[in-house]
Amino acid sequence: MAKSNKTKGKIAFFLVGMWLLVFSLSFGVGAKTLSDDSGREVEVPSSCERIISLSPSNTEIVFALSLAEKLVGVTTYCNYPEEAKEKEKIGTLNEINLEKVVELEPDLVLASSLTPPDVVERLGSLGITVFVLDPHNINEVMEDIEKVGIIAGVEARGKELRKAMEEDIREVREKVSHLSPDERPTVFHLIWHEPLWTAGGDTFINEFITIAGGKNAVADLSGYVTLDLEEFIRRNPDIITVVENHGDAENLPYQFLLSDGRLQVLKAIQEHKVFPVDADIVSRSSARVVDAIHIFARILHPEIFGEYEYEK
Amino acid sequence: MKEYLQVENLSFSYRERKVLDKLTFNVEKGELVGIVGPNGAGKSTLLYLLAGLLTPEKGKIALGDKDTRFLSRRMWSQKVAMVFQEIPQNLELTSQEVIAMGRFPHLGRWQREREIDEEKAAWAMEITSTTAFFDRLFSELSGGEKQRVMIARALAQEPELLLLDEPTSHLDILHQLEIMDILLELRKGGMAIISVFHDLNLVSQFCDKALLLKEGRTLSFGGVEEVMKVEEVEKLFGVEFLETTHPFSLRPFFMPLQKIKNQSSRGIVHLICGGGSGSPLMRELLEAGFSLSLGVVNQLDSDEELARKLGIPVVQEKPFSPFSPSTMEEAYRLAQKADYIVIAPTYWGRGNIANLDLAERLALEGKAVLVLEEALNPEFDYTEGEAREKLRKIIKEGGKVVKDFSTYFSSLSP
Amino acid sequence: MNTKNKKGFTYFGLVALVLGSVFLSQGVGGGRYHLSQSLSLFFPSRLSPSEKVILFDIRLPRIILSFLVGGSLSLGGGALQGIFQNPLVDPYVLGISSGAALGAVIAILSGVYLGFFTIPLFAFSMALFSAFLVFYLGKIGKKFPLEVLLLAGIGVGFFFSALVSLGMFLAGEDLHQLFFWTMGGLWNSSWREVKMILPFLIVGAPTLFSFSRELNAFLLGEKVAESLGVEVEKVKKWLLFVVSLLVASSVAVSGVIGFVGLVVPHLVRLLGVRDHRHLLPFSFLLGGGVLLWADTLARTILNPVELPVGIITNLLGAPFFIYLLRKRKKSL
Repeated sequence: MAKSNKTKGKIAFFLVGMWLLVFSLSFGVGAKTLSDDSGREVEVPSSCERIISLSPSNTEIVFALSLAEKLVGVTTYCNYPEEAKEKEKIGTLNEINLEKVVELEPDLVLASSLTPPDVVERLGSLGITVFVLDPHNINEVMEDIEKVGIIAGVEARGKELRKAMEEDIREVREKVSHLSPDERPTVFHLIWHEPLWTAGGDTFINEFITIAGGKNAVADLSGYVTLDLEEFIRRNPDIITVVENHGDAENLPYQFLLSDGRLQVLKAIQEHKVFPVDADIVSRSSARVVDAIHIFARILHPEIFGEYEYEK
Repeated sequence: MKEYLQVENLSFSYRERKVLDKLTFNVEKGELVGIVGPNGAGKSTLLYLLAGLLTPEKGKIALGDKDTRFLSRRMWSQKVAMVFQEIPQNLELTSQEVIAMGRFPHLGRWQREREIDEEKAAWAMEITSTTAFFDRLFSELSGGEKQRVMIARALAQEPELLLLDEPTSHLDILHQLEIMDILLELRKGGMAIISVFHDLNLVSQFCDKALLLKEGRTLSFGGVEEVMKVEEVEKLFGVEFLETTHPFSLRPFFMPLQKIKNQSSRGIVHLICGGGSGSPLMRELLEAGFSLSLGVVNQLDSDEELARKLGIPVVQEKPFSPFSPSTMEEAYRLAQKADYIVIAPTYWGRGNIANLDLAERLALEGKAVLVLEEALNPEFDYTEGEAREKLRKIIKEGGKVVKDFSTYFSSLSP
Repeated sequence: MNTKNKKGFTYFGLVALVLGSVFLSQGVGGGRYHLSQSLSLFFPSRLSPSEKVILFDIRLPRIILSFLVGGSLSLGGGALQGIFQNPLVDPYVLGISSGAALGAVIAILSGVYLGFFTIPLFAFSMALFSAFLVFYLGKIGKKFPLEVLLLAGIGVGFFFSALVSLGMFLAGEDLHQLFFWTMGGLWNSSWREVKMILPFLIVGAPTLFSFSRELNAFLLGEKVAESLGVEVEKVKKWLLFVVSLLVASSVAVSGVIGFVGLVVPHLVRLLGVRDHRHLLPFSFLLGGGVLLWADTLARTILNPVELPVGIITNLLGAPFFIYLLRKRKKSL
């Protein structure tokens, strides 16, 4: 029995029509939204070929997600990885050249907490997709990486990266899980010396130290705080980590630790447990938080993780 | 008395403009010298040069034989003290503290005040009568009191030469005279004093010598009697003055003369007066818009002097002489041109009674003759009634008796 | 004489107050007062090494430094108010604070390191440079007319401030270093800083005192002062130079601390002291005491977190200054 050609035609027509319908619907409705770290609901762009980053951390995330070719604009401070330095510059951390940004016709702009709010607004009103990243702990960093993956159209990669990071961190945690409180050294993280500037209990640094099997000497304080020198002596940490500031020929806080005679009473000074750390690694909220953890792990427990070597 | 201050060919310029040019004069101890001149004459500048606050461009200043070029700032301040025109505002020091600062040039850097410093300050306060408010705040004193405290401060410096810049400008009469008294006493004590005054009568009344300064040059310098003559003073200020002798001090006294133009459209008035009776009428009539002529009066009569100064045509007779017929003819011809004849309340005597004949003649010819009511007062008649008789005749012939001009002329059409 | 005794008594009282303040402040630490720590000034032997470091190498030099800086700034401010015959003048009127800040900026940005005194050295040099620039611009002929000096000070101050802003902009990530410095703080004060400021004070203070009578004469106006025998331009030059040294050395060591130099001499005048022979030393003692306590407060209020003492002087100084102004207005 032969189906009439007419009927076949009708079915085919129907199928094509349905397909077209579904296709067009997905076009309009497929506009997913994600909430960024400033609480805005951001529409996921349909295609993401041109990305601009407004902070070094965000640049690192873009590279980590293998989206390097799509990155068309970075800040003057974006220096990792090396290739980032060659990208077009669109300003500094808080001075963004709006014209440049618009000129580059980005599909996605990754802003930070330091980006002036009115810049975010202006870009938004110009129809540009802006996504603000402002993580406050490691977990939020990983969430942000995932979100960027989704927005940039590489959801799978984002998920993968997150999994790898989580796995890494879990490993470190395991390796130090057996340590008793006494075996966890107190760490004082020195950011600047005039006045003494350190990181309190609700900071990234605190997490790094804790995960790496140590205790933050100023965990009771909140945020990034300026500390009385007397208090520093009183707390007498086991280990001191000191941030190395880029652009300085000499590391001033480090020099301070070594040269100020009054600090000789500190056990960490006497036992030479003073370790400079790379500011770019420990102060950025990118995928390298894992590297930061490793740094602290080596410093705190070389017996488990191996010796720490600092390279400029 | 030896010469203390010697100024020779002193010149000073400020920004290309010559302020003082070749001044030369001397001042002795115990002399009070007054400097007068119009604004911008360089008076204050001269004082600043004498005080060492400015450096001369040319010329020499010597204080008691010492050329001031070789004086240190300190030594200069020990010899010369200056009272400035400006009085500091809001000064929250006591008068005593202010006056004590006058001892500055006599004290070493770390020296404390000694007994002699307190004595000198006390003397300064006594002479200026400021002892009473020694612990009152300077800012709370009145203008006159402040000025006296500033003088006391200068006196505390024990100067040999005292300079003052318009010390009486902002003071009332009582305080002006107080200041002059202080200066006179200091002068008696042998201090040389040079003061700029804006009131030339203070100079003519109180000073020994006067320096008339115009546009940076000495117009004249010397004893007040010789130098302060009317012509000199008029040259100095470019204004006319009337000079008189102060009845008590017997020194010249100057009164500025405000000139009213002797031309108008209202008509001509011929004034018959004398002995000062015409002076008030001259001004009134000029202000009312009339031109004037006068006659006959004797020379040296005060009305004659004023009329001459005002540029009013006057027919004069020799001093103290009766009016001659030719003089009367002259007066008649002058009066003919007038629209009105006015008879002022003058004293009538043998010498000037001919003026009434003139008036009668003019009345008969139909001229408008106005007789001021006051002129009819019999007390003014020293001719045993002859004058009054003539006046009655004038009135009968058409002369009008007028109480005062403002009512009379306003009742006429303008 | 009665007034002589009164003055002597007041000096004695002030000095006693200062010593007492040192004693008390020495016991303030960790947010509380410890009598034992105060007493340690007299019995230093029974202390552990770290306690010794805390009390004698951190706290005591800081207390002393706060006193010396407060005293220098007040002394400088009082002298400047006398020279300019203007009570609104503060020690930074010659552009010194902006100059010092610029020096610090240059030191930090250039990355030059000559030892621990790098930043103070740069700050001091630039502070003096700005003062000299002001002198140079403010000079007309052989004289230093006061209004011109003030204007030059404002101009130079603004210009250097602009440069500092530029520097802060360029500093980017290093911004925080400058930020802290410009706020004025006595953190990390050690005996080294005391030794840095002391020579300037030892030379500068007696020099300023020796000009007391000239400053008194200035109250009557420059012309009167000159007629009294004061070598006005010479005195101005010296006074301004010495004050610049004092203020520059203070700022180099402690950043920009505001209001103390402006308000303390006023306070002393309010207490009836107008004669500079007493106004200056009183200002020094009182100013030192004020900053000593302000800094004690700064390190106690949020303990163990430190407030920059400049914030305390500004917060307390501004309303107090307004209060003083109103009092003056009433008396006018």
